[in-house]
Order: sequence, then C-alpha cells, then structure tokens
Amino acid sequence: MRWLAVFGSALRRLRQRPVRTFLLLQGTIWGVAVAIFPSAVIQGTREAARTQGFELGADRIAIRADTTPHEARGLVRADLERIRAAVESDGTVLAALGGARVATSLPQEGREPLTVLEATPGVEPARGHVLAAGRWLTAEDGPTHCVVESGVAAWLGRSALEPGDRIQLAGWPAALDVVGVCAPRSAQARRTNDLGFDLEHPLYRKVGVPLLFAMGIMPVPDAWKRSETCVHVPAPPGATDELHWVFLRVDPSAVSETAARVRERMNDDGLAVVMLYPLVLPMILGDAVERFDAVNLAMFLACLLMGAVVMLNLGLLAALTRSREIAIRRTEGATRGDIALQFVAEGLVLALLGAALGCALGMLLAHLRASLEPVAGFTWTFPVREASVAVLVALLAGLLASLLPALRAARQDPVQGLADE
Amino acid sequence: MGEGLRHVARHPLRSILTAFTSAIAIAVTVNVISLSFGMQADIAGDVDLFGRRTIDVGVPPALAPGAPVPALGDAEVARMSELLVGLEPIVVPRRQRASPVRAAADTEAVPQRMQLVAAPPAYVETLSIPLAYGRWLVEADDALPAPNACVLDHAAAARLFADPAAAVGAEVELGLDGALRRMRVVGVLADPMRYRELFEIFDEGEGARTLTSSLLSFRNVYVPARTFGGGAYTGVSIVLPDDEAVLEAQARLIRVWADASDLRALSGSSLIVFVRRQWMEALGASTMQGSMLGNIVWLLIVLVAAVMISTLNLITVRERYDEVALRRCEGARRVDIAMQITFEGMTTAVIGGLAGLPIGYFGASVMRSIVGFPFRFELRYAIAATGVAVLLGLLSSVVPARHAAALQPARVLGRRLR
Repeated sequence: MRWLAVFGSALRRLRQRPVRTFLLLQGTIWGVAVAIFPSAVIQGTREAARTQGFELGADRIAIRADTTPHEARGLVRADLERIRAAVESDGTVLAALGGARVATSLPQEGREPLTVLEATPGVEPARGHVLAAGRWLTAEDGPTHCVVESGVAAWLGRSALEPGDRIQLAGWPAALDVVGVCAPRSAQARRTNDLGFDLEHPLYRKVGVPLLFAMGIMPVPDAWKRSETCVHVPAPPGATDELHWVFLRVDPSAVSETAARVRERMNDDGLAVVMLYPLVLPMILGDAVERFDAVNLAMFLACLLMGAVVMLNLGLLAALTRSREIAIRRTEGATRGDIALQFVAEGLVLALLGAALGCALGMLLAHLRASLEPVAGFTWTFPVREASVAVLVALLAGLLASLLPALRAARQDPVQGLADE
Repeated sequence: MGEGLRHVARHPLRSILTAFTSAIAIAVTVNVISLSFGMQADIAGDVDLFGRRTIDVGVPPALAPGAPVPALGDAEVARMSELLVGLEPIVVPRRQRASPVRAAADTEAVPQRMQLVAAPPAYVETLSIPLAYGRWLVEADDALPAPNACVLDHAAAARLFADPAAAVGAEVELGLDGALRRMRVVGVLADPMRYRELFEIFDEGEGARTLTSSLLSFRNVYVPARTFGGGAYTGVSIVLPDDEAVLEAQARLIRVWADASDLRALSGSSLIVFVRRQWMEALGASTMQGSMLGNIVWLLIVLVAAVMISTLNLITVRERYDEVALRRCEGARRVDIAMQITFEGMTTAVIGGLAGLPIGYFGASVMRSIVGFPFRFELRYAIAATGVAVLLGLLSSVVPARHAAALQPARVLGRRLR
C-alpha cells in the first residue's frame, strides 16, 4: 500500500507540471519508438508473407526467356522437367509447375482483352488459381477442352459458366467445352504484379517504377495475368512446343534460392532467363535484414542515454531546489528511505509512461512506413518480445537515472535545508 | 560571458551532463551524415564510372509474345555509324553469354556462373573504370583460330581467386558450347562499386535483370570479339566525346529506333536506344529516395536531441529562477541574463559537440565492424556536425534565455519568501 501511495504521489507531481513531464519523456518515447518500429514492420511483413503468401503471390516465380541475347533459344516444354529437377534437387517442395503460350488475345471495347493460353497441365494452380468448380486440365484433355477464369463469363455476356458449358470464341477454330472454372482472385492479387508491387499504390509509379528501372529491371507487358479473363486450353499436339512463360510455386522462404538454382540450370542448358518473383518479401524473410538490428539497437541506446542523462541532470537539480520541501517532509517524520523512494518512484513512473507512449509512437511510425511502401503484403504488427525488452531497458534506465538524485536528496540535512530559507 | 563560464565551472556535474547529451546528439549526427550523405556521394561517384557518355542500342527486354526479334548485326552497326557521322562516335558491338567459369588450376572448384562479354578492344572506352592489375585486351589477343586472353572484373577475380592481384597470368576455364575453353587472364578491372557487399546482400532483383542490364553489375569476364564466332550482336555501345554529342546522338538514333525512356517502346519490336546517363540519374534519384525513407528515423533522432537539450536548458533555467532574480537585483540587466544563458547553452553544446566527434567516429567504426555498413568519417562531416552543435546550442538557448530575461525579480523573490 505504501508503495502504491508513493507511486500515486509521483504521478500527481508529474501531472502538476505537464510541460516539464512531457519534455522529460522525449528521450524514452523516441528511444522505445525507434527500437520497436523496424521490428514491427519486419515481423508484420514476415507474418503476412507466411500466412497469406499464396494470396500475395509471395510463393510464385514467373520465368521467361531473356530476349536480349537472341542467338539463344526460347523456353520449351522440355524445360519444365529440367526446372522440376533443379527445384527438387535439394528437397524443396514444388507446389505447382506449368508453362503457357499466349495463343491469341481477343479485344473488346471497354474491357480487358480475353487471352487464350495454350497451357501445360498444372499451369492454373502455378499461376495462383484456386478451382471453383470442375477440374484442372490434364494431359488427356483434347483441344476442345478449357478451364476459364472467373471473368470470362461476363466477358462473353453470360451470367455464369459451369463445367459442361460450351463456349465459342471469335476467331478460335473450335467451340470449347468448359471442364473447370477458377475462383475469383482477391482484389489485392489482381493488382499485384510478378515482382510483388501493388500497381495501384500511389507511390508505385513515382517510386517503384524508377527504382526498378534503376535496378535494370524493365516492365513486362503482362496485364493478362491480372485480367481474370484468360481461357486455358491444352497445347495442341504437334504444334510448336515453345512456352512464353513458365510459372512455379514453392514455399515463400525458398523463393530466392529456388530462383537462383533454376536460373543456373537454365544457363547450363544455354538459355538465359529472366526470373520474376516478389523482390521485397524474400529479403524480409531472409536473414540479411537482421543487419539493421544493430543500427536500431544503437539508436535506441543513444536516445535512451540522452533521456536518462536529462532525467539525471534534472533530478539532481530538483534535489537542490526542492531542499525546502524535502526538509519539511523529513521534519514531518519521513525517513531518508521515504525521500529516496519518492525520487526513484518519479523516475520509474516517467520511464513507464515514456515507454508506453514510445510503443504507441513506434506503431504509428510502423504504420506510416508500411503505407509508404508500394509492395503488396508490406504491413506491421506489435512486436511483443522487442517491446518488452525496450520497456524493461527503459525502466532500468529510469531507475539508474533517479538513483543519484535520490541518494543526494536523502542525504540532505533537514535542519540545514530549512535554515537556508 | 565571464559569469556564464563561471557558472559552467561552478556546476561541473550539471555542465558535464548537459555536454554529454549534446555529445550524444552530435555523435548521432556524425553517424547520420556519414551514413547517408557519404554513401550517396560515393554511389554518385561510382555511377559516374559506368559510362556517362555511352549510349546502348539493343533488343527490347520484353518482346510481346510472338513478336519477331529485331535484327542486330553488322548492317545495323553500319547504320549507326552512318547516322552519327560528324559526332566522332566510337561504336562497339558486343556479344554476351552467361557461362560457368572457374580457375583452371583449381579443378575442385565449383564453376561460377558469370557473364562473358566478347567485344573489340575499344570496349574499355564505354566505361571510365581503371585497370587494377595487368592490361586491357588488344587486337593481337583476338588472333584466330582460338583467342585465349581475357580480362576480369574485380568482383569476378575475387570469386575465382583468393587474391585478385594473383589472377593476372593465371588461367581460367570457360564453358562454351558444351566444351571447356582455357583463357589466360591478362588484366583485372578495378571494382567500380564501393558498396559491392551491401549491393549483393540486398540484390534480390538479380534474377529479374536481362543479360544486357546485368552487364552493369560488373562481375563479368571480357573476352576478345571473335571468341563466340559470328552471329547477331547482344548490344552495341556508342561512346560520344561529350554530353552535347550524347544528346544529339540520342536524337538521331531515336528517329530510327525506339527510345528506352519511353516505357511503351520497351515492349515493341524495334531496337531500343538506352542513354546510360539517364539511367544513372534514375539510379541517383532512387538512392536518394531510398535513403531519405530510411533516414527519416535518423533525422528524427537529431531533432529529438535538439528538443532534449532545449528541454534541459529550459528546465535548468526554470529551476534557477532564484539565482536569476538575485543577479537582477545585483544590477544585471535583462540583456546580461539573456547573454549569460545563451553563452552557457552554447558553451556546453560546443564542448559536448567536440566530445561527440570522437564518440561518433568510434560509434561509426563499431557499426562498420558489426553491420558492415559503409559508415564514413570525413573532416567536412566533422565540421558540419560541429556546426550542428553550435546551432543546437543557440536554438536550445533562445527560449530559456528569453524566459529568464523576462523574469520579474521582485515577484520571484517575493514568492520565495512567502
């Protein structure tokens, strides 16, 4: 009870001088905020990549042949097996793999064109589709079978398409029997490109595109991937076995290494490839980002040290200027311990308050930072472990900073204190 | 002033603590400056070596499905020379491949995938990178039947040999068309990327670059032009004598081929014209934007430090009302009080700032060894930081000084006696 009373009176004293208290809190607030905000962003984004990797496309790699060295060959169907072997060579689980050739694109006024893809079995899930009805294409399917994306029905002016329906596309030689219908993808997935950028983010054009250009990465004309108006048909036998794109899905944390391995394997076969996969998420999932921790820790300690020094300095001053108050309390019966406790309590309350406000400010900074990033899945969460450590360290700093003033105040002679008046 | 100094000396602990806060603030400032500005200046300097006066003509990186690949052979090279007549261009066609490479002496080594660039000796003109060791390729290296000399980028040499300096004279094995080809290393180019390590750690975009654009990662092996035999070129680099000629050449070339700065052109099926300087500027702007985002936090901390010192001075003054009032009674004018407080603030800030320089330097060294970040410490940063210290002192004293000067001594002392 006595402790509670001491803390209560410390709180009252801090409340009586709000400006002084607020200024005193600065160091702790900024220190804690700086300590936890990068972790908040990194942990939140890691969690998003792990839990919603499929929706965000964080598990997807799209491959095309590099057109710049044109003496080299293009991607062919036989490359799919080479890619499978390269991915599985170290035990990485391949979730899906397939290739596609853009056979034709049918324009329609005011709509995304409808794209017919000559596909190898497995390409629909490899592109991140989920089956709504029916089944995927298989090797046994004939040239009149197709799997349609969710927007095809509306494109054809029909209310819905179901397995068993027959569709006729202008300019396509045969009527097609629908064997499977894809579920509509999330709005986020439909505006995210292969590199993981949110194309509708206000900063994508201003920051994202120039950044990619600076990195030597050129934009790819591939609006059809996000159109929801693709029709997948089996590649006709005897036709060209060229593939424009190969898609594969692996665990989000393995994307980077898998891409590097596939690239090497393709290089060995005389094929230069361009691999498109989310650029930022693998970096966040990797260990390299931990390097920033030391910088954050240094900043945290610098801020906290400044805060503690200010507290210490003012505590010492207070011990001098409040000598009259201290003397009166001593004559009223307060022990040296009570006086010291009062100073320590004030330091602790300040540290606790600063840490709490720092956590809030940290989350605000994290939110701001995440919203400035045109990357799909870039978000934040409350980093429990880092926040607890920061709060504990802040409390310790508060305690240490108030010890010296507390001792000095306790040592004051009440008679002298009053006589000075 | 004398009074100010006396006051600083009379309260050593308080002065030391205030100076300490200032020292940390300055140390942080030094780090901020050396991290962001130093790195930016370095990158700008590096990029300058990548060929400021070079224009590349090549195949678009993302042909629309089914679109024909535009031809790039001797006829197109001749056309370029013809278009640029009078501008004194150096026209350098090249062929590129990604290929496994290893040191011939180290048969156990796993071959490293690298870019092979086959180009005539004039290729070195497309860059401003000096040679670190040995010499560049000459015509005689391209002697048929099998050219057998090569030059390595420093990063390539470092991957293949324990000591890049020892690469000159050694042999490397290149995988070409399914066979191994031995080449003698005659030179090593200097590494134009000071932050290579950082670049490679965070370079997730490597796989998304085309052969042409990854040329500028500088991990290449340069071989004589005839090494790959004939066939179409991967790209053509054109070096112009000055910036004006670059603009004029660009204008002439884009009358025939597409301009790479026009994004729509990239997916067409015409050759594209890429002015390296424009790319360098984009790179500079992106680095700036990137480090701005990253440095918001750092700058906030400097701001916080300023607020803290100001707070410290303000509260110190508030708790010294009695003293100020007494001095006023003793005949000190408002101006004297304001001067004294300002002088005190400045003195402690400057002393702290000077103390902060070595702390900042030490902090930067520690960070560099722990994080591998490119912290740099230079005299001009030190001067800038000291300037910040003086400014901090001045700014943080203004409010407290005005506060103290405005005091009514009678009221303060009267309250005290009540």
